[in-house]
Amino acid sequence: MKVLEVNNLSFAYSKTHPVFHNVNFSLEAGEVFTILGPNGVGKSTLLHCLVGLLTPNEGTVIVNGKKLGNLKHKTLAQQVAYVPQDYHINSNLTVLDYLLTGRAPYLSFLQTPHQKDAQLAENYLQRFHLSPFRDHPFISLSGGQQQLITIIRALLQEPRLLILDEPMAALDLSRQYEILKLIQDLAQQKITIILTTHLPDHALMLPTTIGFLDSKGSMITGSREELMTTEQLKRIYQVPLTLTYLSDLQRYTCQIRL
Amino acid sequence: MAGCSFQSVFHNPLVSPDILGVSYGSAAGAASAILLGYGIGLTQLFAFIGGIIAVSLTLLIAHTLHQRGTLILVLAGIVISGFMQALVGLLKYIADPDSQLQSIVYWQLGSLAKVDFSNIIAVLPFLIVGAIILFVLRWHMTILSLGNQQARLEGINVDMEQLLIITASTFLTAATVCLSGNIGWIGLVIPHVARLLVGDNTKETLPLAAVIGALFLLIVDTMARSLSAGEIPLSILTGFIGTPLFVYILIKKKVQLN
Repeated sequence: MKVLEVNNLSFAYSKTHPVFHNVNFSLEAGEVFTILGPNGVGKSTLLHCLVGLLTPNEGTVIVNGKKLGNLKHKTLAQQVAYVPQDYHINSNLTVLDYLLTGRAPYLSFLQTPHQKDAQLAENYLQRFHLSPFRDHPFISLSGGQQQLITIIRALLQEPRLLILDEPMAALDLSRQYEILKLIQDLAQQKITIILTTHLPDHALMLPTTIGFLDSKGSMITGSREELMTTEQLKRIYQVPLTLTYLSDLQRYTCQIRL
Repeated sequence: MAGCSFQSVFHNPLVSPDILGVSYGSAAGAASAILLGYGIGLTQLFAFIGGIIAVSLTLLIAHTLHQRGTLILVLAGIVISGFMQALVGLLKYIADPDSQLQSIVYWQLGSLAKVDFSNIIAVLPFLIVGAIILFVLRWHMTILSLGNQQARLEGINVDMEQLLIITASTFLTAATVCLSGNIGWIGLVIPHVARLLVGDNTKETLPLAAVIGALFLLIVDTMARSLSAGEIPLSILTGFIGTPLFVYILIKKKVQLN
């Protein structure tokens, strides 16, 4: 069974402000899907439609065989986790308390997090060398650390589909490495991942299928080999750029030409 | 407890339990009863009903505007509070200055002098049910304090829980205000004191705020009865103690942020 099926999805904020139309794709368990496109074409809006924060004008989103509108909030939260681009919070909650909110889909409204939930959170903190920050206020952390913590929080939902909006935007190279590695690991554990990124190189590093969202609101999807070509990238970003093969890394890199 | 809950649900540390109009609604109810020449029992009943009516009107306005979100609730609360304030003003204006006006003013300043065991029993069911609901939902309030969108993604039925918390808080506030009149500052300041002690997780802050609030009122009431020959209205004392305490908390918080 497909983890996610998106059929003929269209969304417009108003008649004069259409965003995207007739978007189609479907994802298997363990598939990585990277959405590329210039700023403001509606990548985040598309993601919002996939998690039910926005209702599309047309089309359907099917999660594990069930239509999005028919799924209970809680069931959806057990299957799909979403890390937004903007995760500003307005409290002095500690990192651990913040992470534990990710366990809500598994607790009834009478329950509060158990010891084993806290253990799960601490295991992740350890893996990313963030244990010393366990009791620090979340907002006192650096942007990169905050971003990593929000991703860990999403993982605590134990989702089958993880949606990451610009997960590497605020991260230095070592953190980018950790996230890319994590995405690879999760995919091997059969977790499906959708991510958006501004750097085509991220897509060139990952074993991923590609979705190009262009400024007219159409999306084309296909394999990396099929779509990551100089012509396509030029068409999407409308700048002079070039793809070069890096023989020592055995992959292509995409660079703009000034 | 109500103050703590409202500050979480409205994502704003500066709201107090009367933000939705319950205090002025109660005052209008009590003032009408005093003007009609009713005794203390009916005055308390009118105050309770007045508080509930005011909050219901606030919710109705927000609902008619078909706007989700907490800002519209706060705005509707300001409108209703303003209306009720005008109503109290009118009632004061037409009240007999020698007896009725005095009673209204005294009621508005708050006092525990007219509370006895029988009227406590009358409001006890509201207090118990309201307190249990808030206590049970205390951890979900932590999640709600991170923002409605975030809470929705965690599988929480945001609209339903918000309404439940508002209803429970309103019953708690109306049940106390109808007996004691308006006692200012406790609902706003005490949650901050609790937060200063145990952090921003409502799971811990809410029970602590309940205990500190009760102790604080006990101390203030003892002072009110013993500082002078007569009994000083409570709002005067809570105002004189509450305001500098709040300034102290603001200074302390700022220091922590730096």
